[in-house]
Amino acid sequence: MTYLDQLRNELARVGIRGGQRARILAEAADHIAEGGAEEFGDPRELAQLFADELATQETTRAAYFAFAALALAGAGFGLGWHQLVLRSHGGADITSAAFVPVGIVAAFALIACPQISFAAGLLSIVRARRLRKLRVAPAAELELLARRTRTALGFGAASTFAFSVFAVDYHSTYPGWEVLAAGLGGLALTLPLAAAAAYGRRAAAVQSAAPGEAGDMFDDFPVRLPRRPWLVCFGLTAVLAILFLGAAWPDEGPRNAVAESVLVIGSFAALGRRLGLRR
Amino acid sequence: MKAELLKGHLDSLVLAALEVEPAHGYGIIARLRARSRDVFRLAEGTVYPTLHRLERDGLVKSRWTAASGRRRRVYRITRSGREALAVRRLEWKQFSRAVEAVLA
Repeated sequence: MTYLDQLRNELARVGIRGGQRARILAEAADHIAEGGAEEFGDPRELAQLFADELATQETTRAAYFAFAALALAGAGFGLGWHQLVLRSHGGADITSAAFVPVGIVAAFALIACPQISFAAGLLSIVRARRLRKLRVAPAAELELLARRTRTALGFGAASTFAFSVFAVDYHSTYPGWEVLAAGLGGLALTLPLAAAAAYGRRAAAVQSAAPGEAGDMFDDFPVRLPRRPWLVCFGLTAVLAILFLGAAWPDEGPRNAVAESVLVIGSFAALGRRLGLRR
Repeated sequence: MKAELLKGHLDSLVLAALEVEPAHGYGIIARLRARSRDVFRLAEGTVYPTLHRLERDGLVKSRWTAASGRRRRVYRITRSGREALAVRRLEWKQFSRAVEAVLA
């Protein structure tokens, strides 16, 4: 097996393929033809060197791309939310769905998924901003960043899909053109999210092996907080509960505050480790 | 010289090697060796991740050329690269003066 064959295999092992690999091999072939392979370096180490840098750059870029896609989808979602829910003073009666269980799940997803997506997207972009100037970031940090990005995109897609389902299931409440626009619009909004997810999947194929820890949310924010994740969670829950309480006092305020508290604490418990909120 | 010592400065060294005229990877290695009087010896392949990164950052540009029947990627420094090199030179002078003052 020639040196170039070994280098090709090693580049494939770390996930560098296509045009990028072809370019590296072509440059290596030219170099070796002039100076020999002895001093070119160990192919495994060289491939890993490329992968460590590329993984950092591509994972960070994927997070920015995802954030832009989420912003686009979020703008469309907000417009639809305004049209279907706010403009009609609270939206459809929950029992007016064609299939009530589906309607309830869609309504719950409409409330929960965008919030989780927003939180995960925010955590993702904050970490990406911190890593963007690093030549090589630890593999564990990149894995955490990719997880946050995937979570944000997943819950973002669930939000837009739920929006379509909600509009169709409650079609008796809204004019036909609104149902059609919301149904198709919700699906269309998943397209940029799918594109960002595909980009992220390609980025994740490049495998960094740089040592180091992933850290947690306390490494992401410039403000000094007590390093006690649950305390921060309960503090945030209290702030949100007060806001929800005040926004619809006295009618639906208490109910909304309790529901929001359950959502925040439940999400923190379920996704806290995945999103690097706690270790 | 130990490769580890060079790693942190490879970007600046490569930019400096390209300052006078464009070169391909092997040519850059040869310039670094010659200008350092053979002190800078590192695994030659490690210059390529550096070149690719500098290109992504807009500090160098590259294009394929043909030489001796082979495809060859030739790199040249950009205006941003020259500006970055000037800044790094200044930082290096301050740093080396400080180290010299402590070690001397």
